[in-house]
Amino acid sequence: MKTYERAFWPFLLPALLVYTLLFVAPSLFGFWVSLTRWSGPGSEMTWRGLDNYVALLHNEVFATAFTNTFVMAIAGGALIFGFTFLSMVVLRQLKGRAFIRSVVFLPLVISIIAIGAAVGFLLNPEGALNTVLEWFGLDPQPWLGPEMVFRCIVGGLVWSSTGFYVALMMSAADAIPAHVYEDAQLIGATKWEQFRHITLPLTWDVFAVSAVLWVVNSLKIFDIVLAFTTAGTAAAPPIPARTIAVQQYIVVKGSGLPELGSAAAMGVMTLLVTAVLIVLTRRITRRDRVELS
Amino acid sequence: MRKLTAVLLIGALGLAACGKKNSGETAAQESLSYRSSWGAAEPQAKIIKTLFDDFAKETGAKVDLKFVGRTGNENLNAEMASGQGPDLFDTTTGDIETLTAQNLISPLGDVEAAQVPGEGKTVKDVLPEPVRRASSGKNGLAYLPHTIISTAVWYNAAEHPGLNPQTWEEFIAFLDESKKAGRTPIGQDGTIAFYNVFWFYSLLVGANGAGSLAELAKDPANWDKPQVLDAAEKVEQLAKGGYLQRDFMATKFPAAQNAWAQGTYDLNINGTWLASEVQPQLTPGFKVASFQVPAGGKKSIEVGTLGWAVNAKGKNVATAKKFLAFALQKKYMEQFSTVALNIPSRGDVPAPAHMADVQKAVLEAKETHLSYDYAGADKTWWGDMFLPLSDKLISGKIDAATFIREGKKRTADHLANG
Repeated sequence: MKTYERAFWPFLLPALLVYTLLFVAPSLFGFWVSLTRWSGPGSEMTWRGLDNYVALLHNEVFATAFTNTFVMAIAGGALIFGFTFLSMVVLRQLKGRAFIRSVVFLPLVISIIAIGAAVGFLLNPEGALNTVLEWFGLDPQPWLGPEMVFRCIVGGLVWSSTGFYVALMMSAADAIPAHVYEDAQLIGATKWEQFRHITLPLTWDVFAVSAVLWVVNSLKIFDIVLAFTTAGTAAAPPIPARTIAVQQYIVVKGSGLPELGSAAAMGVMTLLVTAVLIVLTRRITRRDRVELS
Repeated sequence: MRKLTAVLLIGALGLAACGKKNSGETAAQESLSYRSSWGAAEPQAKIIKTLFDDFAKETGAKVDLKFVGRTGNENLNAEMASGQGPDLFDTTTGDIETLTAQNLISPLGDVEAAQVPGEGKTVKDVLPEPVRRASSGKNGLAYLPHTIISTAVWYNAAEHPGLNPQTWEEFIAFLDESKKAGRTPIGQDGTIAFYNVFWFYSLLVGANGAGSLAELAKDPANWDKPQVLDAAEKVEQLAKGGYLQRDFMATKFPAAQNAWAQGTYDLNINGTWLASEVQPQLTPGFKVASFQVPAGGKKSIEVGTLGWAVNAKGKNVATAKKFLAFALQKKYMEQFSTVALNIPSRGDVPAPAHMADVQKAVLEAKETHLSYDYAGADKTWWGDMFLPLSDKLISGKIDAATFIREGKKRTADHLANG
């Protein structure tokens, strides 16, 4: 017992020190900044108490950014995992599935700059998509206008993120022994039943991790919004397209003095929301582990 | 043994310290560092490279010049605040307040009084007054401007020679005529809110002078002034008249300005950087020319500048200042016109032909104002409230009266929430 206690601190201390220095201290500083008005190093920091938070609660634009972020996390997540599950049903026995998987994964590799340029060609009023619609006698749509741009961004997000989760889930599905499926086929299980009773339970652990990863990533969505809107210029994306991270960027980098206090308050709020969402996700996805004996 | 080690160690440290001091004394050579926000392929970079080479040759200074482009200097302010960062950096009218508040710029009062080498004139002598004003903050001259930027309505003088409507009615008449002829009068990259607001801003501030836009952020009562409604009604007229291209609010930059350069639209309201941005797209024979939005009233002209600031915490402030006076020589400023195709900051150096209209307007202006009337200083008001509202006005979602009512109400809310 004595030796254990003596060994405890020397082993823990280096990690604790590094963690405190690189994570805990900056986080606490960030929280401190959120209680002030500050334009960055060199400028004066004035105390504001909870005023930054109160102002955010009254700010309609922040409310929109906040809602948008949620919609992206939930609707985007539903679509991404919907497609992922679908591809697990369809792709499992397909010939050339490795190839299809890499094709689905490809959007993740493409630089966001390239996506931004392509969006212009495709979705502008005179772009490729509207040209095709006109061939079929359909009305062209203002895809990137204030009414539709958010839906287009969610679409782009699903397109660019699904491949990652497909790759993750499929690799878990590949580990399931083939004989389990053979047994299922012998008793006449459909593809859906095989997915429902074999694939899903046996990959549930990986799904739970993927869901948490998605939640964390979705609350930081930023670059794809710029790619679809104002990339290449100093302009702020239109309000209907903004996420919390974009709003944060605007108050720090847009015209005028950087408002680090307000940005930090947004960060603290995002952190709280992330924590709540992760706890929720963990709870929803909690199951007893299924193991093949 | 231990004692001996200690003595040796102290001795070694002492020697090292001496060595450092000595080498410091012998290095009388000046040095100067500049990390440019221009990209190495841009014409400005070529001019700047020549400038630094010449400066190094004449003064023997050791120069450290890097071109990192717009995105390479993202953390520049933080770096400079911590005592790192280059001696010289790029800045513009809109950033003066931020940089001054962060104590990052060294004021250039002494540079103003310095002689431009070989010309017998001071820096102050060769920079027109509006240009100096656009480059100054509360501590005086904040940076040395090399380029003037402004806003105008751009057109193809080969198609419409001498187009220069003097009144709003004449302007609308041209738009109607263009429409009747089956053309689209105005091309607008509507996803860029600060391009959309050019119309309202040019109308309001052009007619009523500096401060008339900025004051809308400061007191809701200012929205009741008849001049605000007048400018808003004119923008409403543009929206309702269908003068802008279909679905312009869904047009991703730079589609509209490129289409304008190819002759799809007659007009494009934009900054003086437009011509160089669309250079590769211009149809053969396109003669870029411009006129001011016919706002009437005071006929105030926008003057903003781009230039070089001295890092207040830089290691070579004196050399940096010496460089600024050196750089302002006519032979270099001429290149900002002939090579970079911009309006140079010196009043006695002619702008490129397609910008002669703007340069003339700036130099002859009785009244001038800063870019966007400096209304972006309150960024929450500007970015979260005003620009989105202006987008609604120009896209025809709201009329002028609603614009005023909403603007007034939201400004009051904004000021109350601080």
